[in-house]
Amino acid sequence: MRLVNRPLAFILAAAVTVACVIVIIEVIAFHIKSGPLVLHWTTWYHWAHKTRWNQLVVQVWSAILIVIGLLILAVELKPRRITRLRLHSRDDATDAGVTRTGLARSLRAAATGVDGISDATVKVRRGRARVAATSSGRGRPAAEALSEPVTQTLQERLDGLGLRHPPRLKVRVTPRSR
Amino acid sequence: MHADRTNRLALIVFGLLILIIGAGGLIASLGVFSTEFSKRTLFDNRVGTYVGHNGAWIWPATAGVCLVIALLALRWIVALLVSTDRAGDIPVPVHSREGTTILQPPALIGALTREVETYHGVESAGGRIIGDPGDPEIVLTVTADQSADLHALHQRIESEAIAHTRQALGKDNLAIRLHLTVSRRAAGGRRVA
Repeated sequence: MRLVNRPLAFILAAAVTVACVIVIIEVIAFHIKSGPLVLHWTTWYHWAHKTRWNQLVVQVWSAILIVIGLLILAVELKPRRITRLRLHSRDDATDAGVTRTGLARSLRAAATGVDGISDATVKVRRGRARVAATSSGRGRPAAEALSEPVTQTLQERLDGLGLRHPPRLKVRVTPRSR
Repeated sequence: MHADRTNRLALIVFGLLILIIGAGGLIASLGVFSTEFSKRTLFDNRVGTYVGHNGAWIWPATAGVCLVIALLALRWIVALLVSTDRAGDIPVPVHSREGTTILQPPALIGALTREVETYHGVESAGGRIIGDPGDPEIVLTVTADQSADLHALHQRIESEAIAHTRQALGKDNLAIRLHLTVSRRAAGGRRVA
């Protein structure tokens, strides 16, 4: 998000600066009885004097502004994706946390460490960790039999981390595809 | 911080402003205010009339406001392009009244990360010092092996490396932000002691 905001903010700041400088130049030019210097604003002035509110052009531009405004607000107000989960620390001055990807990799390593599991995919989101493990044996009964040991191993790993708000664990073991 | 909060706030304000202008235009255009109003021209309203009658002072005042806004926007651009949140040299409290001891951030971070990298289960460590040199904050990122006991590693970093750093700076309440992550590579078989 920061990486998107920085160029957007730069464009906005540059546009505001340029717009303000143009206004200053045109106000000075108007007061020394000179015509428009940088921007031919008199065209817009005459257009606004002729254009009525109920014309299509006003509605189109209003709709464009609404869409742009909503897009910016949606991007900026969207809840941030969590990047780390906080750990219990010894003192208030230490803010320790495990990164989301770090936790996912740790859980994946724990899942693939269980006998009979050949692969696992872990997704850690706000409040939940979803693990999709693949059994090395074929057939649903073999996969179902591994569900409990995998869940237990992963829960132990989660509990052992000392997370302040551990995510809820959801484990699914599927048989190896043919 | 690198102006991140300012960026977000300014973009939210800009988005709201654009939305309000657009919604106002559409409402006026669709005749919600009144059908009679929607048939008027854009400048045929109280605001337009007022600006028309008082342009002699409104436009110079607008230019003045624009000057202030332009200066603020320029400062914002400078903050975006050149500012950094990294702390400068850190003064270390000493008992002697003569002279000042200065600790350079790379030296402190180097010592901290070298110590952490000696711990079992640690693949790499990196850090930076941010904030005011008088009240700095250390951001430490530690990448552990996949087989590492993250809890044990966390406890050891707090009780040893972080404690040593606080002791070196003479600040018991030195703010530390510790990010623990796990290596993408498969474990090399090492375990946390």
